[in-house]
Amino acid sequence: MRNRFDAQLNKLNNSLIEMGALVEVAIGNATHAFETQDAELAKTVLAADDLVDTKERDIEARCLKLLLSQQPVARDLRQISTALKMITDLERIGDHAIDICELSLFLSDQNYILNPENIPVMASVTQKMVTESIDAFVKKDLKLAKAVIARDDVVDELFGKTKTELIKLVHSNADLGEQAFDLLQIAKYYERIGDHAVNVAEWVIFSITGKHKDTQVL
Amino acid sequence: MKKKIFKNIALVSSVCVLLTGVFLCLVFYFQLGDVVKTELQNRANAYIDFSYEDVENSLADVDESDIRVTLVAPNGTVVFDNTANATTLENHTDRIEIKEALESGSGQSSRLSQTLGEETYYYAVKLSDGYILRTAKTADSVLAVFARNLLLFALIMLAVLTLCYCFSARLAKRIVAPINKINFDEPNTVYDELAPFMRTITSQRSQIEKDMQALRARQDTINTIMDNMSEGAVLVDNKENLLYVNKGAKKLFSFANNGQGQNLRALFRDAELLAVAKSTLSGEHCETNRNIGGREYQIYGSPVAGVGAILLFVDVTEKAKAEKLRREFSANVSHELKTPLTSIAGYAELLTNGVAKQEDTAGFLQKIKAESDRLSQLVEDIMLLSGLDEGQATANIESVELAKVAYEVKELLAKKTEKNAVKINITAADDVIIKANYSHMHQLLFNLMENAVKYNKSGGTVEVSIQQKNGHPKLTVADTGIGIPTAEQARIFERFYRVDKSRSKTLGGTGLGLAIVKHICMIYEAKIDVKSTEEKGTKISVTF
Repeated sequence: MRNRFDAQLNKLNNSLIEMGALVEVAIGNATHAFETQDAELAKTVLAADDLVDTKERDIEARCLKLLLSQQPVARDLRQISTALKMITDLERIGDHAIDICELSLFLSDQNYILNPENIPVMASVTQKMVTESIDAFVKKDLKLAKAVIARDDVVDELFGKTKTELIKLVHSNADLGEQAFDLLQIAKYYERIGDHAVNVAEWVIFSITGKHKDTQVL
Repeated sequence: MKKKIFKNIALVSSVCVLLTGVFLCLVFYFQLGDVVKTELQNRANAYIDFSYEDVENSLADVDESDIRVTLVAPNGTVVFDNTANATTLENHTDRIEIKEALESGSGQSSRLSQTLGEETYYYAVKLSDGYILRTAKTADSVLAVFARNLLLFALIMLAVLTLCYCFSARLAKRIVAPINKINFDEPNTVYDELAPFMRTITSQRSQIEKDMQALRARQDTINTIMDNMSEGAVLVDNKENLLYVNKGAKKLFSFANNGQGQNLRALFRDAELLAVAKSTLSGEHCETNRNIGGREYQIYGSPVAGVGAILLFVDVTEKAKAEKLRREFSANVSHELKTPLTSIAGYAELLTNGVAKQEDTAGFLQKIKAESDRLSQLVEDIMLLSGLDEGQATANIESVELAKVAYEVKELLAKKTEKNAVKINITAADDVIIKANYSHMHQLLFNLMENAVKYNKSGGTVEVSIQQKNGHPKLTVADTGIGIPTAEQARIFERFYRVDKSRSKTLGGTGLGLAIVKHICMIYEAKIDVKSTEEKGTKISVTF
């Protein structure tokens, strides 16, 4: 009985890692598509979103089934509830990758108005946060999860910088307003991705310690 | 062991006790019988000379209540019995003892009373008057003796068995104790009976020790090989759990612990790599290329029967780069060879068809000459380069005075310098001599100085300086020309690489000059340093 349950938990874990990998690839490709204005790449990311959604539903169904049939307690319960919460954040990250791709597709035939220095930095930092939050989950690494949470400040700061830069540009030339808005949106999406990575990291910490945001939940 | 010993001892002792008991009973029974018989005989014989009346009289006086006395008339009728009423008793002539007494004067017999487990002994004598006096006494039969002592036997048996049990437990312990304490390193046998057993064990032990050592050595060798190879190796079982991750693979995926028992996904979660692992586990040999962490890896998956699969990650970045360079090189070579050939073929066709006007012929021929010169120069350069590639360098080493070579090259370039209005200034320290192949040095200086002239501005200068610096000969060629953009500086030593492709046609050259320079420098382990500013000039120094 316990063996079967363990095998099911294992499978759940593997599915979660696979979903993480899908999201990682999506955000990596989205960033690349944005930076190189590669419309084809952007389209492949858009096409791959279904995979993430299917995976989310699959994991969700699995979690509910396990909760119902096994009535888990303690660590098992934490693991399953973590999975249930994590997939929401992962799916949101995947959605933001799609949003970035859609905007990149729209911008792919325009010259970027500002030398987009901060946005690629934001992109690489958030991408790393996503990778590390999934790594933390895979390796059950508390330290790594905390490092991810700490790095969110960097992203927030970069977002602020990008915003001021864009405001300056629009002040100097009102015609640049449209693209400035799009770029700001992209920056915002990255900032949101960073927040979701933090959420994932927090759930990882919960699955290890039973504490979520420093309150003992389970 | 205890049980076995107990069983055996208990069996032996029980049989002993039983046999002793039976034997004792029998002896006791027979002796008792003898005693009773003798007593009866003595008592009867005491009356042998008496007549019937005497006996009757004396019996009234003497108490004979412990035995039964019977007087029988010669016709067998019982006339007296001290324990029963004589008249009720039947005729006794058919009794064995009476019969015997009638015939021979005395007789005896014994009869078993089955219900009572008793035996009655009889003795009869013939009195002087023909009457028969019979004495009788009842004693226990064998079975009765036995039955009477049965409880005793049982008690003895119980005691013996208890003793056996304790004894066998202790015996087993005592037998086993030395065996348990056997030190196999010093096989001084405890029991002689165990000597062959000990010998076998000792020899097997040393065999096992040897085998283990061999195994360990092999394991060490395998581990050393696995850990020191630059390729990553990962062994997974059928359930996608890691069995072994070598150092290369750990480094590749920045994996910290040894991973044993963890899921493969802890190592990597790339969908394509997982797909490779899966299909390998299903028994297929797989091979794929994948970019991991910015480097190109070739991944081989081989199923391992009964275990799972092994995945090998081979870094092919350099190979891929070299492959790309080679492809580019051959494409460039064919392109560069084709261009002059096309011109030559074109002009030659015009001439042979007679289409060319008489006055153009000389010009065409000159062009054919120029193009074939370019072609042969190109072929020469390529041959030189491949020669340098194959390391024919060390032939014809002599002492070469660099300054002399520089002046020679200046002479050779005289025409070009005049055309471009460029001045070459050579400042050379005395006696800067290096051991080298003369033609290599010539090529080196020629290519550097020619470039400096070619890519110079009209009225510019080329400063060639040859000096001894910190004991190393240093050659510097500086021009005041167009310079090289910073982004391109890394690539100028590549074969056929041109910074400005449009310029190459007008200026000529093969695009191999700096590649040759680089190769020569590599052979003489010289360091090339490029400093260039666009529109200001380039300074290339070579330190030997």
